[in-house]
Amino acid sequence: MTHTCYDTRRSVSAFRGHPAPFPDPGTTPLPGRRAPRVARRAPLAALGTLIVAATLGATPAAAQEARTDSLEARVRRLTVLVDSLLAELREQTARQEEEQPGGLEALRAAAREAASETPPPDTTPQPSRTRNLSVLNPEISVTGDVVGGFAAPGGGDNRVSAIPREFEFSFISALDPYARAKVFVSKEEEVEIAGLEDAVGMETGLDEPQPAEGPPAIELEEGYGQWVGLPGNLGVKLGKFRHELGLYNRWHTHALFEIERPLATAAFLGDDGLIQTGLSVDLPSFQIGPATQTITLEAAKADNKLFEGGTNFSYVGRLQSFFDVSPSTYVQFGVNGVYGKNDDVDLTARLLSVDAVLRWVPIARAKYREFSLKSEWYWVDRDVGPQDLSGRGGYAQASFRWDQRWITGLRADYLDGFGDGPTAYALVPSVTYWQSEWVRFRLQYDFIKRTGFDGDHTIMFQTVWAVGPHKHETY
Amino acid sequence: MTNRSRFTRFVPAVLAFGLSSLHPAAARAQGKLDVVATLPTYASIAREITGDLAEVASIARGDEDPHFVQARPSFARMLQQADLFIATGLDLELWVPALLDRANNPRILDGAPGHVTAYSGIELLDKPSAVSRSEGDVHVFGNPHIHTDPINAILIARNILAGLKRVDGGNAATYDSREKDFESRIIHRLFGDRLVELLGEETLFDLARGGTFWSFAAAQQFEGKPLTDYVGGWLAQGAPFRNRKMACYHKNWAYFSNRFQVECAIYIEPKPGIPPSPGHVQEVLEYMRANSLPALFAANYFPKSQVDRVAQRTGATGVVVPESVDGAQGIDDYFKLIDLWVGDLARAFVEHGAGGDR
Repeated sequence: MTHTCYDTRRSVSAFRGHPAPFPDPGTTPLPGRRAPRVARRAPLAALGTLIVAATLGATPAAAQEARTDSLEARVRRLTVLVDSLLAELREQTARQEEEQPGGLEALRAAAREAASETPPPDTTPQPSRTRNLSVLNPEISVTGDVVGGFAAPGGGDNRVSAIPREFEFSFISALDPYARAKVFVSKEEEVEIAGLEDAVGMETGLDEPQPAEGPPAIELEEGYGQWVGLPGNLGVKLGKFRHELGLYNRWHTHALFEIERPLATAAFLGDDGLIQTGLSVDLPSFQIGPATQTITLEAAKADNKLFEGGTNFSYVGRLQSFFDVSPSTYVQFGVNGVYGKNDDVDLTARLLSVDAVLRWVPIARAKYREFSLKSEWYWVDRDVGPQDLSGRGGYAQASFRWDQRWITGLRADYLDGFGDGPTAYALVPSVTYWQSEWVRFRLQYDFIKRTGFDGDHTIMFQTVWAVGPHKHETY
Repeated sequence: MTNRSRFTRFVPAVLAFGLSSLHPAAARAQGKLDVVATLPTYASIAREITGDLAEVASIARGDEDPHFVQARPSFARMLQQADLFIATGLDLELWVPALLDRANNPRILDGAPGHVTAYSGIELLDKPSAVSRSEGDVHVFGNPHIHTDPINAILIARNILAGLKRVDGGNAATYDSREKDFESRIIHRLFGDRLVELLGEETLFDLARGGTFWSFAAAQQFEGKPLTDYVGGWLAQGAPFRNRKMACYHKNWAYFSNRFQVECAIYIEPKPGIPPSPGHVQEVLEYMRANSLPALFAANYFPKSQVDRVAQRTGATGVVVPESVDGAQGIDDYFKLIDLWVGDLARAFVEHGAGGDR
């Protein structure tokens, strides 16, 4: 800037002894529009000076003409000079406006500089991570389920119990871009509920006694690979898994809405439900009208209670129809079939079941309000040698969340088991207190009544907690 | 027993039904791309980019708590047909894995071209120094409510753009052009036209993203006035609450607070995801009164009655807004969503005598 100002002054000083016509831009804080006004006056001043000089110097004609020519030439040269000076001044003024503090270009440059500020690279030596790849370990979770109870059997002594009902360890991880692995290992003990064993214990049609129960052992509850990226939108599970059967068979015991499974499922499928080793295929879902239909087909070694621990194959199929009544309400219907044999004891078992759900969860209050109505009904047929045993049973359950923390529920069971045993009924109200997403408490009352017997009463208190990332998959 | 004959008819019927469903899904409506987003805000941003080239749907609704969406077969069906799936990619939508595992769609699995993680490139706030459930439902990677900052909306749009170009490269030019337009509108609405004219969209984006905008603006002058005088748009609208404190219900406003320089000084939830106890609510009341907090800011999936009660007892204004697009009537795009947040919050502060920076 200083250099430019100096040049300007030097150029103007060349104007033959006249003082510089322009103020020094370097001393002008903000030239603004003053400089252009001064510049406009400059040609007039120069021309006037020349006219005065010409008038004062009048001489005879020839000399005068020559002088006039000389003066004209000089005026032209001066005009050119003035024009060039004015152009230079305008450029300089514009540059000054842009470059001075507060000018737009300066502002933009400062903004660009501020925007590009990045912290210096971290050159601190980092520890090697080649021996620290535990981040690749699977997601590990632990679930605890402790139950205490007071049982008052209709025909026996009152009893108090307290057991660590279940501790479950889960390991979940991606195997590769196409498959996942899920492993659930648990140590489980049976809850003592007055009248339950009598209600679900049925005629089996077998001569052999049931295997005696030993001390609770750590068992593989589920362990399977799951392929979720196959062509044709097929989903495949391979391993030991809970079968897609009804509403609750897929649910782990600690995640149930009551402490124990309904009478009918416990009677026909065992205390833990239908869990076997085999193959499961989810077919692509499809629409029929507004309803989403899903079909699952499964084949597994028939070693469940239903088949008395056999070695043949069993087959399970489920058709589910799901319909969103509104964003807050849906209904779901399911039809399930199970077929399997156990040649060792000449047993063939068939199970047909239906289930239905109505669930209302107001979208904007999902944590605070919820009502659901669920029901499952089973018809089971077992041929054991010449005997044809059939049984049926089911339950209906309602639950209502009336606060973020409190949920109440009521389940009613019906069981007409194999053989000539009594029909059993159960009524199970419960209150659940939700301390947080990972801890909940439940108070439950079980009333079980078998026709011809006194009613059995049990009050239980349950605590369920979860450590780690595992969330219960309710779908 | 008639069960046997019933059963022998049932199994073949199920098989036939299943095999018939193996045919390819119905042709996409009008040959458009099928885009599914977890949250309606992501869907709205995706629509800005795709225009009529895609059918864009959202799983969660705008007034739904994104932490607690109930996975349903109808959602799995949506994902089964999707060409592009957009999710935050953090531990917000923990219901997503169950749906993906049910959808069996290799195009949108984690890491597949059709899977967009919206958080990519966003500097996460509230990263826990130690992860423990004793801190409540702590998000282990940082706060996942990323869309509450308009600058993050630009980064989300860029992530969606990248996904769209991966699965539908033929329309890349259209997507590019529409995404640029979205970015431009966000910058203009955030800073105001005059500031954009002075500094340019890119520079302003970089300043904001780097977190240096306000310090830069405060240190600069132009034409004899502080540069902050040239700030317009949402930031100018937010002047009544800038550098002020308010109460919040949950930690879902971290990015909004950061952008608009308004601090959530106390929360109704004692810890994220933990219901407030009466004792904690009393502490909140006392704090709000002692500090004269003028507003309680909450998403509309929290109980409005509780917000109103606290506001009433402290003299504050309860500002209950949808956290996501489509969460209230008329809030059908991202711009209207930010308009609503900024407008309602500014009104609440003005009601309590706030006129500008403090």
